[in-house]
Amino acid sequence: MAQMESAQDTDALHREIDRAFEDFFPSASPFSTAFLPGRLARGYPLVNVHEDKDNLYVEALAPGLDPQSLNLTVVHNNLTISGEKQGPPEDIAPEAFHREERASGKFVRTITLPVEIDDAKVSAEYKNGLLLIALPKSERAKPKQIKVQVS
Amino acid sequence: MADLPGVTKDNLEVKVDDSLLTIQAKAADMVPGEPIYREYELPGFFRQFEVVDDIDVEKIKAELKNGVLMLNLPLSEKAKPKRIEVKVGD
Repeated sequence: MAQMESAQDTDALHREIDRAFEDFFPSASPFSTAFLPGRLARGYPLVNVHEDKDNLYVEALAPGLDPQSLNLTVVHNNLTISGEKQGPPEDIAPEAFHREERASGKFVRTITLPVEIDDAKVSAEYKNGLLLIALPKSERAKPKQIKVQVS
Repeated sequence: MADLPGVTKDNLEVKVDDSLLTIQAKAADMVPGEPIYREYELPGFFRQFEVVDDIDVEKIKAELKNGVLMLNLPLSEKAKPKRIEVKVGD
């Protein structure tokens, strides 16, 4: 009986900790348990992840990137996006700025993908300030119909 | 400079009326498939600024590149700051 109780306690503790983290990092995420460092990094750029039956698609909100600085790598199921967002042109004197709201600088973000993908076939396009990445699912990850034998 | 991701030239409108500069745009995301996880939406942009100096409207230049709008609004002749000669007396 004593052992049953302690199992429930650790479960309750687990849930408390999860809830504490939810409050700190309100972005709800299906990747939550897989990737604590991702949340702490405060995710720039923001991403939207979509899928169809053969591919996973990641779209990142990233206007004003220097296309030369863009670096995409895939390791297992982790996609890492890094690069540099360009600031204003250098020939403007600092006193000439009336308002500066745009952030600029280097960034890195790693996202754990929810499905296994074929890393040899990933393609990406940077268009209108949106980074569009297509990641074909690996054969193993595609749903397969299983025939049920009725005897 | 304005960040306008997901905006194409056809969906963008920039105008100057008196001293009011208006930037208006519709944005769309371009990702196919069914959503599994979304961190942002692109509802469109609208922003107005009061431009204090006189702008030479004929000479406004706008460039939309990689989702960033660069607007160049040249000051009209009478608005350009004029140097005032300071004579140093004895």
